[in-house]
This record gives sequence, structure tokens and C-alpha cells, in this order.
Amino acid sequence: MLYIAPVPFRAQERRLSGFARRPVVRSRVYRPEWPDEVPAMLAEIPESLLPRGAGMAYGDAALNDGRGTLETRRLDRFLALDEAAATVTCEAGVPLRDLIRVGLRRGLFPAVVPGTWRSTVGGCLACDVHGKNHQVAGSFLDHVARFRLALADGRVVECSRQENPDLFFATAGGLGLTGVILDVTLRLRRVGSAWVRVRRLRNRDLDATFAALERPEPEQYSVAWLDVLARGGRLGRSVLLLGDHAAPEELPARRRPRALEWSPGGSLRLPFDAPGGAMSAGMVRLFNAAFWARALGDGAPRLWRLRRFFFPLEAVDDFARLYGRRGFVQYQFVAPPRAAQAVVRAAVERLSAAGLGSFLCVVKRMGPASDAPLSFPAQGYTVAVDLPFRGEPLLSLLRGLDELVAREGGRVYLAKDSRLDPAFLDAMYPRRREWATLLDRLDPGRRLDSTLARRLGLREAA
Amino acid sequence: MIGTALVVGGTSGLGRALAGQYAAEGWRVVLAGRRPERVAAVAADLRLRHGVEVREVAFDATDPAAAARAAPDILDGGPPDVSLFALGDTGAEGAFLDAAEVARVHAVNFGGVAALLSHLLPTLRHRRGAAIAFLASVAGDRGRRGNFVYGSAKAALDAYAQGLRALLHPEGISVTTVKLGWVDTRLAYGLAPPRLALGPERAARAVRRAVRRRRDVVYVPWPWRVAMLLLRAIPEPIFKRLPVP
Repeated sequence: MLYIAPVPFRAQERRLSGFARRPVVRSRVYRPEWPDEVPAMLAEIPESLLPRGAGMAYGDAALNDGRGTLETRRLDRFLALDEAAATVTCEAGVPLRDLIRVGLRRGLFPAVVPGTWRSTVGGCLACDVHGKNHQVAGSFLDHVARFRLALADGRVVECSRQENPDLFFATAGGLGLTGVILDVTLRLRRVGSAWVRVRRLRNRDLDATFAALERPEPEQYSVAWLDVLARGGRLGRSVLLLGDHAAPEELPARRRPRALEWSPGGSLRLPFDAPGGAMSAGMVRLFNAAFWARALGDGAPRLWRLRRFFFPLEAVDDFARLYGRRGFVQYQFVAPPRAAQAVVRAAVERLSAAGLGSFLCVVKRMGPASDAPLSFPAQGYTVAVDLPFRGEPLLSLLRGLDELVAREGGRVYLAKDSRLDPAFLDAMYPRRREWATLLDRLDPGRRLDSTLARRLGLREAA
Repeated sequence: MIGTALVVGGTSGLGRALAGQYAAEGWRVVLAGRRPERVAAVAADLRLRHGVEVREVAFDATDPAAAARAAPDILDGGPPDVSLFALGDTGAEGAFLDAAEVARVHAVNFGGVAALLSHLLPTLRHRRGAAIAFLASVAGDRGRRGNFVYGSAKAALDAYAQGLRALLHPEGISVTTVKLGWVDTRLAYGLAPPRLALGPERAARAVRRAVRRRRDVVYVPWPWRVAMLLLRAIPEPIFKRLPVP
């Protein structure tokens, strides 16, 4: 007679990948329906586990090949919302999209959002994500008041800057390896409308791009879209996108009564993987030319819906499919101020020379780093670039960039990684050992583990 | 129309999805469930997401005294326009050898529902235009060796619903039996092939459509109607020899 395990311990064998669709691994996926089931799962499931939210990390940060995955998507309840204090408490599996939907009609918006609204609150914290306003707002962690964490042994602890501060900071950017985040209290930003006032400024080359990024602007959101395929005198040409939440008075009169109304907009669904050529250099060149042309009429403020400004990729239901079956690699690094321009210049030159056809390349100025040992954001410049996967030529190009970034005291973003050489890890994350030592004490048996952690030796303390 | 929806078993995956969809259209919701802290959590979520009034009622289908206690709480704000019974538990396999488990599975899937309705119907039956829906299962269509304790309870629910439907038809009250196949909630998780399990939001939409159209019996997802038609057509002397789990 077959024994049917109670649900928390029942698993579904699945093939999983990150947002960039590579690598793809097999894992047994456990799915709690309630937070109070998580401690028993951690204590009793006889294989290592990795919490996973929406699986929006690009590479292998949210994978645990051949072992267990603890999917938190059904932990998606809002627990409390304090409008006067502008705080919300919700379970870790709540996607940002729901948070925006619930907050917006009360004039509240997440203080920091990444480039997708599918990410869960727990995932944003575990990756310590940043947004277009890092310079002024810091990272996701800066707006987290507290959270509850289920540790590897099943104990549940309260974490804040006062209570268990070591765990509080180790969990932000900790990629799920410190425990399972159960619920989070966030401080939200007050906004006057569901619209963003946007200015687009064209910069004809890399020097102009840097000058534009250095110029103080009144808007809190700022990011440059860079045309990686432009060469010669136009190398590094970009469109600087500046934005801020529009006040209701700025809207046309007919929109004012419903200034805060949520309008997610429709999305295009790709029924199958795009053929390999969809992201070819030619197509990307066309797109970039169009993007450049549309930014004409410099500087005039326009009103954009939230999605168009913050989450442009959500216009396509499964953006990664555009890159075809082989998937892509997203590469993001940050370089400290003294070396930033030189590193960014070298990176842009190399990417441009390789002609790999990047659809998306953004450059941002970043503010000061947080106190979290594995957190990615740090003062300087960051570059994020999507590259269709093309095997060895791409990997060796990126390895060369790693070397440059590590030498200059920069780092790559682990939540987007699937190929970093572990030799560069400690140069990039000098506080990693301190973090790994804490984890060894909490979880000596490595109940929590991931493909990325094994690949990079992230948890090696010695 | 905006009314009141009662969801018994409102903390289950499908119960929560149903309550959420009614709340999204502005309906008041009465949420009944076994564990008060879970009922409170789902209720708080519904209030924050949809800004509607949600009443919480403690109801444990396995407690014989619970129905009498819960009924007045449920009817407090007037009889509900739609009453959904979304509780269910397949029980452990091998339940047929465990008397306590047999009793529990029957109470959750049928006995508790009938007991609660015995207290609700005196009021509810005078509510012309009201709708009642039971979330039954394809498991009730034919007893199978793998889950016949559960199946027999859902079969009882099915027969109960047939009688109630006939009784309430002249009163203008519809009774819908929803026979669920695989829905991607905790009951089927890890058992059903992932691609064949219907997501709870889609399943809830199908249930609501059936209730709105005052259907008598629907299968969700619909292909199960065909599958069960075939399965039921097999004569018992043959069926008992088939390796149907």
C-alpha cells in the first residue's frame, strides 16, 4: 500500500531554471501552504533545501540541482498594513505586483523596485535588490524594518537591526542560504499618482553619458540605456532616463480623479521560443536605433505609466523566450568610484567589439553600500547587460571582464550569475568568509544549499 | 450584483481563491474554517487586498457540536446569497483500516457539511434566488481501490446535493455540484501531473461561472466529464479486475 505523505513533505519533481533559462536542473520541489509548516519541513525533509520565490534570479542562485527546493509562492498573504506609518507586513511569497496593487490605491509604493514585478518580497530581500534610485534610496534592505526567518534547524527567529542583527544583515543578499524568510515588514514610499514624470536625454558618446550621470538632477530615478552596438565616435551613446512619481496636479484634468488607479496593462504572450535570430545583432541594432530616435525632443517631461518606466520587460509575458532555447546570460558588475569610468569604458569597448548583440545594457550610478556582507550594491557605477548565450567566446569575454572588475575592487551580481570563476569571489566579496562562518555555526550540516553555493564554494569558511 | 458569499473551508487553496474573486467584485465574505488563526490570516489578506467586509467564523466539520455554534454566526448578517462548501480532505491512504480516519474523512467531506446545513437551511430556504454549491470530486463518481473512503464521502455529498436540489428547486434556489478533478492545491500536490492540474484561480473562475449560470452538475476541468463517463460505463465485473489505482 502506497503511503501518501502529508502535503508539506510531498514533493513534485520538476525541471527548474532561472530567468535567463540556463542552466536547467532537476529538483524536488516542496511547497508549504502556510508559514507554520516551514519549520517542520526544514527539520524533517531528508535532503538539503533552498528557498525559492518566483525564480526570477537569472542564473543558478535559486536552484538546488538534484536536491530539494522549498517554493514560497503560496505564502502570499498580506498580514497588516499601516497607512499612517506607511508600512506593510506580508508573507515572503507576495510578488511585488500584488504589493503595488494593494499599496497604490492608498498612495503607497515600494521604496525600491527591481526591473520585474514578479519577484517576491522574500526574493528581493534575499538578493538585496536595488532599483533606479539606489543613489538616494539605497537597496531593498534599507526599507525592511523586520522579518521572521526559519533557520536550518527549524527554529524561527525575529530579525531586525536591533534583534539578531547579524542574521538580519546576513540574510540580505544571502541568497536564501541563511534560512527561509517567512514574513517581512517593509516601509513604503508615499506617491501621489500611478504615473511617472519622465525626461529622456540623449548622450552622443560615453563621455557625454558619464557627464550626464554625474550631473545632479532633481529626479530620484535615473538610469542610462546604452547602445552597445554603437562604435567609433558613437561608442557608448545612450539615452538617460530620469523619472519621478508625478503629483496628481501634474496629470491632465481627466486623469486626476483617478490618479492612483492601477493599470497593469496587457502583455504579449509568446507561445513558443523565438528562433535564434530574434536577438541577432541586426534586430538589436534596429531596436536601439528606434530607442534612440524616440528620445528625440530632449528634455521635455512626459507622463508614463508605472509599468513602462519600472518594468518595461513585463510587456512581454515571457521575455526570456526572445532569446530562444539556448537562453542568455545577464552580466552585471559594479565598480568603485575611483576606477568606475575606466572599467565601464573598458567593458563597453570590449562588448562593442565583440558585437554579441545586447538588447539591454543599462548604466547607473550607485550610492553607498549597505552593511550586509553579501549585498551587491556599492558606491560607483554599475553596468548590466543581456547577452544571448553563444558558448565559449561569450564565456571568455566575461571572464576577462571579471578579472578587470575584481582587480579594480568591483564585484559581479551573484543573483544574476551562472558562470563566475570562484577564484575571483573573495576579491569581489571581501566579507564573504565572515558570512560563511556565521552560516557554519547556524547550519553546520548544510541543510540549506544551492547550485550557486556549491559552484562558487560560497559557504566555505576555511 | 453585490451580495454576501459564504465560503466554508475558506482557508483551503480553492476556498481562498473563491473568496478572493467574490471580494474583488466587492462582495461581502463570510469565511468559515477549522483553525481560527488561519481564518483570520485569510480574512486579513482579503480585507487588505479588496477593502471588503469579511466575517470570520470558526467551524470544525469533525466537531459534532460545531454546526450549532457556527450557524448563528454565519447568519448574523442575513442569509448569504451564495454558499460555497469548499472543504475536503482525501485522508491518508489506507484510511479504510483506521476507524478514526474513516470518521474524520467522512465528517470533513460530508457529515459536517450536512450538519451545518441542517442549521442553515431553515433560514436559507426562504432566500429566493440564493445559490448553494458543493465542491465534490470525481472520486465520488466511482469507488476506486486507492481512495474509496474519500470517494464514498464525496458520493454521499453528491446524493445529498441531488436531493437538496430537487427540494429547493421550487423555492428558486440553485444547488450546484462541482466535481473537481486535479486542482493545483495541497490535496493534489505531488500526486497530480503538474501540467494537468488546474491552477486554483482558474478553477475558482470555473466554479463561479457554474454558480452564476445555476448549473446542476459541472466537472472542473471539463474533460473529466468525458473521463468519468467512460470510467462509469465499465461494468463492475470488469472494473474490479482493472488496475485502476
